Amino acid sequence: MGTATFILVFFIGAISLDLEVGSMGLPNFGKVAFFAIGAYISTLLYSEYNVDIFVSILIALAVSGLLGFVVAIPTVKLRADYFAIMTIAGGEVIRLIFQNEQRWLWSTSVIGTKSQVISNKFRIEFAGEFPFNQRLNDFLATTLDDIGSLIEELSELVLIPIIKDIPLISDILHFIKNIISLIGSSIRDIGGTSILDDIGTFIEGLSELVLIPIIKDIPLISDILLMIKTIVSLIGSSVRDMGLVFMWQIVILLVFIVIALFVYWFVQKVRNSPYGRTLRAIREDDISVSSVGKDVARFRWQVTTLAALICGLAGIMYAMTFSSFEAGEFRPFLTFNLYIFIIIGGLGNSKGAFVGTSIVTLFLHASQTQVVKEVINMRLGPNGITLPEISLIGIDFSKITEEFLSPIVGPLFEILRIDAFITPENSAIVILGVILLLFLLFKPAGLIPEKKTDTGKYLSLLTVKQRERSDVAVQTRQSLSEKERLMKETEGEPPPI
Amino acid sequence: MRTEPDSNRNNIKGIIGVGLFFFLTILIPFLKIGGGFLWGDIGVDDFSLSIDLFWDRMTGIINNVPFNTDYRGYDNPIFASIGVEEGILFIWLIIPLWNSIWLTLGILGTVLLLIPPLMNIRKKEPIKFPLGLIGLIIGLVATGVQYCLFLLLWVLEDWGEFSPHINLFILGCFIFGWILLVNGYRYPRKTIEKTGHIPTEDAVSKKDITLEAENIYKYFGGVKALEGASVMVKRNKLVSLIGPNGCGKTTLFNVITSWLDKTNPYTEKEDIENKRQEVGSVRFEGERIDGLSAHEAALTGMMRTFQTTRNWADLTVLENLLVAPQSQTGESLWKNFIFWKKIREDERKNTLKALEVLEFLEITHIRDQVAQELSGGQLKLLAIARLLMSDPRLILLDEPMAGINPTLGNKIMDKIVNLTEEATVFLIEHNMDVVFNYSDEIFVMARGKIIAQGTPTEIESNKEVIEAYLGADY
Repeated sequence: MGTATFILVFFIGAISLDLEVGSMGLPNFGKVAFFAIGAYISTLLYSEYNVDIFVSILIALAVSGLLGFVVAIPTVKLRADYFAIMTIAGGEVIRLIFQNEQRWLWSTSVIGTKSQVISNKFRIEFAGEFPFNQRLNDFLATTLDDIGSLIEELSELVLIPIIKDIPLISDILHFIKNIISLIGSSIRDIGGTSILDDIGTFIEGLSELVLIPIIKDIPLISDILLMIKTIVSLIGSSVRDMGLVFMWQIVILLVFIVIALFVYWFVQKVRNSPYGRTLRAIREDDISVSSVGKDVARFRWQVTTLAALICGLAGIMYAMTFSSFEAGEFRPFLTFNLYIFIIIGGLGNSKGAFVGTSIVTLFLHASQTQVVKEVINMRLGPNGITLPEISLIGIDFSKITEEFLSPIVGPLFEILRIDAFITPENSAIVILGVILLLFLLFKPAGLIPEKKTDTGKYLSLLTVKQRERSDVAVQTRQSLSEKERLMKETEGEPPPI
Repeated sequence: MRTEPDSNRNNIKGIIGVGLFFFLTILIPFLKIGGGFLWGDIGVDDFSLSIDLFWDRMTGIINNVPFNTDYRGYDNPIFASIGVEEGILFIWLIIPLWNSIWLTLGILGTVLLLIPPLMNIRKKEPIKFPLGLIGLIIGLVATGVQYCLFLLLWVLEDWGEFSPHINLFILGCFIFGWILLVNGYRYPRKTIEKTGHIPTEDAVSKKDITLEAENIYKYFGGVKALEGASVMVKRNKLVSLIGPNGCGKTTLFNVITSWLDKTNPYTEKEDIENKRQEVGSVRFEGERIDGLSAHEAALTGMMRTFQTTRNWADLTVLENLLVAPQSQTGESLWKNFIFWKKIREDERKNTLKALEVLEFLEITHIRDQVAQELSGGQLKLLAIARLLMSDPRLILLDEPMAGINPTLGNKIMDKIVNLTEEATVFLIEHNMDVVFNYSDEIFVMARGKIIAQGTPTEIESNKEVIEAYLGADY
């Protein structure tokens, strides 16, 4: 659940970065600043200064947009590299201001002293309010109970006063009434048990069935079956855990999904419009865009401001998921996370941003769990590289690694003390770094590269007659006007193709 | 056909800048007074009280006018020496008085700044002189004085919460406003004047001059690229500019199209008189275009190509052409969400036009290909096609025949000659066949100056030209 909200928040952040880097070619390395602004201002205004929550959100958005504008103005005419440097500086300045400005930007704790840790009063209050403070199980229980009793009561309505006394019809009516009230009471019964618990346990039980008796002993297949079993039972236990989720978490998730969809739609609309087309042209060659009479600087500051606004929104959402946070969390590392998402996912398109964000975040979160840590640690450690004992096409891979690679890698680990920094904790990040390098080398466009525009989009605006000539020309690979001219020149000879 | 620079936009920008200035000068004093975040401990009443006391003080300066010594009693040895009560009153009066001066200056500045844009917005003329800058200077000076005063007060007594940091913030606001006004959101520095006065002898001949670059100097530090080059291009003619490599042809193009600013050649300290004057001018259809930025120059109807073809590689040929038309509604961010129909209509018209242009240049068949996949010749044609999308009145081509085989070259030149019906073509070329076969007039350049001009026959027999080409030692 937490992972899902994180994915959505960072997806919005990644879209805002992608708009700048992918569509426009402006590398902005100070994104974390606007994240921080959105987060800080919205929570501070509500928690410290008791401004109404919607107003504080609006103010936070306005401030992040304004600051995006302020950052853009002096840097807009700089070359891309210098723009990047300036944005790093800007980001750090903002983070330091938030960390150190005691008078206005630190929260007052209960004792009255100022503290750096901002507590998100809104989130705490929201989580505490009924009905949001119930767990899903209880919520389902109570609502199902209510729905069930409501249906039971409604069943009474079937007995329409006068008609019900007519002998045959009264039997039918009573029959219907009983059915409906039966439905109602069974719903109540479902509410009485905890459904999610049951479904979860059921799925877990199913997972055992995967280990089909005879087949499971074949070496390679047993590994695969084991993997499938683990995945299925994981699904089962997460269904069970879902019951323990609080209602406010679900509400936040739903709200975030709606916001993410809106942002996605908005950004797509911008990208597919003439505005987006000009942005791509600026990315390719901004000098020729200027020479056709467009003000490149205007496009640049507009995009930077818009991206800052969207990032501020992401920051606000980020803050809402926590009950407290502090400035130190908004380090440049967050910006580089966003870059990883869009490089792996695909520059220049929003789908790529989503795929990249989800995959990498899932990976990073999954690697925090004990199970995965052990797997990674097992495979890559001071003992060298170990692979599971697979014999594939007669070659025993584990033996190869043991005999050839491990003697090299193992001592290497010890001499260079690599295990000092490739610990189980951060080996996930090391792997991520390697994957990123591989992507940059072999697939720089990312998993989902930017779609080439379909010229049909424009041609469909024309009537068939208007586009006929050019369509024929495209098919025959020769312009019709050229054909005609050549025919005129050679007077009747067949034109060369 | 012709698109005019949108000077109305500058007026609107001016008004926004003024609004910012108004906010900073009028509202900031209210933020500053007293300690605390917004209104602080001193309110509007203290204003009037202080002013009353001030006038009382002024009138009763010799008399001992009694006043409230309890008003923020301070304990300070310095005040003790000048008389504590007077000290307090002096300081507390100065602040509101200064603030009222500031207020007055702010209101005055705002009014001054607002008049020109409001007057011009109906006439759609650009602002004549940088009032914004004047207003900002007033504000800066006022802030500076305020800051010094508060610094003094801060030294004299401990104001605790209230500190000169706020003044720094205000100073920062003004600097930001200055950056805003000066860095592109400004009234155009040089105005586009119409030449009302036409010199008498040339009155007749100048009417058919479309582009006039007069006495252009361009120095890159020590490198003197242009030394008083002058060209006059007649309307609807094909004019060539030739010369040895490195004589400044592309530099002249760059100055004409505002990619570079011309320089004042008087660099010696003694030439103070001459240094201040502007040397040289560029006129397009009679209007001066010197001070415009590159894209604004393009908006006046002057389009150019570059020596090395520049194109948008990732976009298809059709898209390349669709980006080119000027002042599209779809290029405004917010308009995309409101004026759907108009944008669709514009796209449709532009697509039709794109197809026509492709037909004209006989490259219709590459319509759907990505620009990356095109050959060199096709890229050149694409660059010309892109240029034609905005119906230019003056077309500047920088070596259009570079890297093109003669057959294709002749085909291209035939098309270019067709263009002179509606527009003027001014091209740089090295290919003498093309130059002498197609040009109506030729300008010859060497070492930053025009050494000859005339029809092809005249140039062919010109001794200087032969010398420049054969004797050039580059």
